[in-house]
Amino acid sequence: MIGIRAISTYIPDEFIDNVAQGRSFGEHQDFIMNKIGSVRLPLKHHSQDTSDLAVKAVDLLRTQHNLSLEQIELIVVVTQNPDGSGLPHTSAVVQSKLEISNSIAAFDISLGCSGYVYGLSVAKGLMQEAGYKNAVLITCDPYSKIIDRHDRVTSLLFGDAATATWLGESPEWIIGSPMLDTDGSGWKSLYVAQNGKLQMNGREIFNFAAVQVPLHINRYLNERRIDPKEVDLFCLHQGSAAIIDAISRRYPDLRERFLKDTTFTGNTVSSSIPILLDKHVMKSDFKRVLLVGFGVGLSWATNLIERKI
Amino acid sequence: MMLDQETLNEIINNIGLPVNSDGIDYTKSFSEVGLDSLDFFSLLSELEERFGITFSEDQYQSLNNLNDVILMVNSQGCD
Repeated sequence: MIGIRAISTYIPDEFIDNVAQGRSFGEHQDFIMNKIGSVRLPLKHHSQDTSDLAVKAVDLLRTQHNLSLEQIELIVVVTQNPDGSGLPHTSAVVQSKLEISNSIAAFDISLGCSGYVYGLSVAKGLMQEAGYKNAVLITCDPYSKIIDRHDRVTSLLFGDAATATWLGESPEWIIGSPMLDTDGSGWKSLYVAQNGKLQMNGREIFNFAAVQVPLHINRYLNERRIDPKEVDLFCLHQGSAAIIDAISRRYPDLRERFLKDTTFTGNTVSSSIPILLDKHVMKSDFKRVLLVGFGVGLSWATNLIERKI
Repeated sequence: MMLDQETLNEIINNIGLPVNSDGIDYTKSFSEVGLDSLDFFSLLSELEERFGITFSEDQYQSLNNLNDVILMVNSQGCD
């Protein structure tokens, strides 16, 4: 059985003081702390590329969880901000930098905030098909590459980070069947414009998250006949504190089960869910955790992971 | 169902927006009554959900105060 064995997180040491940045845009400290939810936004060094952050995360997986490079048969990188212009795929660059043997599959997945939920199932499916025993799913989408620091809408939200998830046999966590939705008509809500900078319609993204995500959660649980109270923890993509509040408000009896932790990371795109899992779930006593990713595309994805008994 | 000030007050209280709904001046701007941009987004998404309506980008841009919000919701043919 293929599932999650371990997760490691790499967060760059450098960061933007988001309270100071907010002040420069005329925003009060309370807005930054309570609505955006992030006092720091980690920032990669200008000399680091996406693959460098990815390699850092894999190195941590090796040292923290005793994964050996010889074991890895598959590398998947979830990113929409790859090395260079995306050709070649960043996963190949990662394989080269790690000096892993050529007997390895490697590819990228072009998805944003729903990417980790997708990536778990894509990697698991290929591993089962190809008979792989160990794979590493990497998330690394440094939005600092595409942020216009004069743009108040996007500057206050995003932080750089990378995660590496070890997928393999004898897992700690079993991956369920995903529910995956797309609404491409909303692509202009969040996209990179011709000037190479991120453009976001904040209201459209907020509204999409506040309305569609609870519907998606409900449909996922209903179709699988799972009572929401049977979910120990709701691990949602950390778009902003206000978005998590807007979604969790739909579940008044379960609000305390919705994780909200962006204080020192910001919105790290596809890394936000595995960062939460690494920090709050892997060593916990939780048994059932719902993962919900949503964002650019528009794309949204839900899956349940369960601790292996 | 029409949206009136009483219902709007109830919604504002339910979603915990940082304004005193007893003393709101519905003609003042959103920032003047204490709503920031994300509070405003929260309010509109709640109204869309509750009344089954959608605010277009043009409609959203034309909203200046809570009276505008009431008029806009009621103009969308809620029954």
